Amino acid sequence: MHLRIFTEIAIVNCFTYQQLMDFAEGTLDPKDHQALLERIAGGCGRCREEADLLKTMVALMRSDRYGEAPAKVVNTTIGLFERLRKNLLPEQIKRRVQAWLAFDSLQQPALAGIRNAKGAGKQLLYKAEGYDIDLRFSPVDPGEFENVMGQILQQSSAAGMADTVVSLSFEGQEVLMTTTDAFGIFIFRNLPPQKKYDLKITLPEVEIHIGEVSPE
Amino acid sequence: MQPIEPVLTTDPAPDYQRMTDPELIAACLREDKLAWETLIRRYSRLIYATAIQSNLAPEDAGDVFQHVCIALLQQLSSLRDQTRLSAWLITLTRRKAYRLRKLRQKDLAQFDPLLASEMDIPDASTAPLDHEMLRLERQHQIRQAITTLGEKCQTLIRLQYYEDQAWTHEQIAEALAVSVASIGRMRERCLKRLKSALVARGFKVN
Repeated sequence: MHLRIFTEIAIVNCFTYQQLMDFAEGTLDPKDHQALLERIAGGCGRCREEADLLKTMVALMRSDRYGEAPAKVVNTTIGLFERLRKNLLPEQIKRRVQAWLAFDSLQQPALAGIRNAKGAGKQLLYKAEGYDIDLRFSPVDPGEFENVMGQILQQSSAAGMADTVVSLSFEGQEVLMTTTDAFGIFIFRNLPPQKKYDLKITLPEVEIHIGEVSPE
Repeated sequence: MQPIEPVLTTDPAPDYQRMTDPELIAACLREDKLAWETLIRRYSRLIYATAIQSNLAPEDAGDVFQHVCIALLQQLSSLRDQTRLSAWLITLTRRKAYRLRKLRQKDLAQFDPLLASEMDIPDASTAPLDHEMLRLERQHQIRQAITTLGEKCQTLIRLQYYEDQAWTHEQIAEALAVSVASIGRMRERCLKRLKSALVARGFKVN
C-alpha cells in the first residue's frame, strides 16, 4: 500500500523528497523505511542515488564537530600577509649565507665562585652580513624542554629586524616556523635540549643559516 | 609561538567570498590583502582540524597552523593545481604535524623508551589521504557549499545538523520567524540547493 501511494506522489519516481530526507536523517517511519529499502533493492536507481547522497550529506554534517581555529591564531596569520609579503616574493633569488659564532656563554671562564652549571641557560651570538643574531636558551622543564628566544639586529643601527620569517629544522627537515616582532624578537618553545637544530632567517636580500645550534 | 597583536577582525566582503581559490590566489599575488584574509578564513578550520586530528596539542596545532600558512604564502605563485588547495593544505599540515610529533617522540624515547614505543607514530605524512582526512576534506566542501546559500538556509542547516542536539521544527521556526508548517518545505528547498551546490563542485557519495 505504501508503495502504491508513494508511486502516485513520487517526486523522484519513488518517494517524496520529504521522505528521502527523513530516511537520510533516520526519522522515517519504520514501515516506510523498510519499503524504501525494498524499493532500492528492487532497482530504483534514482531512489538509491538520491537517498545515498542525502545520507552522505547528513552524516558528514552531523559528524562535523571539529572546532574553529582560535581567533587569535587566525587573525595573526591574516596579519602576516602585509608584514611578510615583501620578504617572501618568490621571484627573488636570495643569497645563502652561513652565520659565524662570535660568542658562546658556556665557553667563557666562570667568574670566581660561580659554577657554569647546566640548566642555567646559555647565550650565543652569531654574525652574518651586517646582522647580529642573539640566541638565548632558557629551560622550561630542566632537562626536558627549553625555549629559544632570538633577536635579529642590524649591526649598523642596532635596530631589530621586524617581520622576518625564522624557521627551525631538525635532521634536515623544517619543523617549526615563526616570525619576528617589531623588535626583531622570535621564540621557539619547548624544544628538547639534547638535539641540534638548524635555523634559517629569511631577510629581503639574503638567507642566513645557523647550523647545529644546541641548548646544551 | 610569539604573541603578535591581533589584526583585521572584519569578515571579508561578500564579493571575495564568492571568488574561487584560483581567483583568490591570483588576487593575493596582486598584493590584495582581503583575498589573503578570505583564503585563510576559508581554510582555517580545515588546517586546524587536520593538525588536531594529527594528535597535536592545541598550542602545537597553532604553531603548525601558522607554519602552514607561511608556507602557503611562500608558495602561492607555484601551486600547480590551485583547484585542489584543500588536499594540498591537508597533506602539508599532516607533514608538519608529523615532524613535530616525531621530534617530541624522539625526545621521549631518551627518557622512557617504552612510552615512546607505545606512542609509535605512523609515517602517514606522505601517504594518500586516509579515511579520516578525506572526511575532513568532504566536510570542508559541505561547509563551503553552505556559504553559497541564503541566510535562512544557512541558519536552518546549522540548527538542524551542526548543533550537538538537533533543534526541533518548532524551535527552528521560532528562530527563523516563520511558521512551523513551512519548515518542512524550507528544509527540502535548502537541502536541494545544497545538493546542487555540492554536485557543481564535484561532490560524490564516495
